[in-house]
Amino acid sequence: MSVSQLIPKQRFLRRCGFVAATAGVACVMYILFRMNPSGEWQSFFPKCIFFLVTGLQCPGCGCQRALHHLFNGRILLALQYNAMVIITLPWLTWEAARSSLKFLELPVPGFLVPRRRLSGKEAMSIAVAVIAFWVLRNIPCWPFEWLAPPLQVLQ
Amino acid sequence: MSGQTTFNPYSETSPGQLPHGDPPPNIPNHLAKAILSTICCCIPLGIVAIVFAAQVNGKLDVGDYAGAQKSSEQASFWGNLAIGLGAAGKILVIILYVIFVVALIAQNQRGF
Repeated sequence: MSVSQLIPKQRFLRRCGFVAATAGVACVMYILFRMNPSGEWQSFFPKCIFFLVTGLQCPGCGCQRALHHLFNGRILLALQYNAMVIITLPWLTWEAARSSLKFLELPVPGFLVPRRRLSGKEAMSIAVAVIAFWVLRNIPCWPFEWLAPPLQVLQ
Repeated sequence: MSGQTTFNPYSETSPGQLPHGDPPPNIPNHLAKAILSTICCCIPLGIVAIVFAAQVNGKLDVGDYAGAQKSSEQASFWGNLAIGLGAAGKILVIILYVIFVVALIAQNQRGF
């Protein structure tokens, strides 16, 4: 058990920040559960700045709609809107839980401790996969169009 | 803790003086944070974070612990910056949109 490096005031501030951030994430998740980002309240959802500027899909484009469909149980539709976010969501949640427990200096339970370290090639291939996903989803032909959100009639 | 006052040679290992054959130090690769930052729509910075994060484990494999530490810190920094700027940009867009709608409503009411 490592000795705490924080003074009590710092620890209190970190806990307050964590509670505020968790509340914010919970609100966003509830909004995404109840409202379709391409529905009636479409204009109030934030748009991807990269998409607005370049007209190209970024690796995160479609993730609001994907999460909306995932929360409502339509997993295949969610996968079509943004496959990468849906596939990496369990891993991202796991990492977020582990790093926030370390940030708050709370004990980390065993299932959050990684069994082994990724090798250099594995880590590099994950990075290459993300960049490849970004490039491939912008190719407008048959096998790749399943990586991008389906075209919609803009209002 | 009374470990601060008494000298215990087995309690801590300083990261700068790792003898040969020791298990590698636990250096986080901030790969999850880097991927999260690319999802957060701040593209150039997210790519920088991903490249640095992917370097960490390769350097650990070779035994370059100082380089791995440096890449890890860089990945964390660029990831934080990208997430912060992406979130700030989105909040700014929402605020601008609300101001726009309020202005539109106000103008309509003057017209009646």
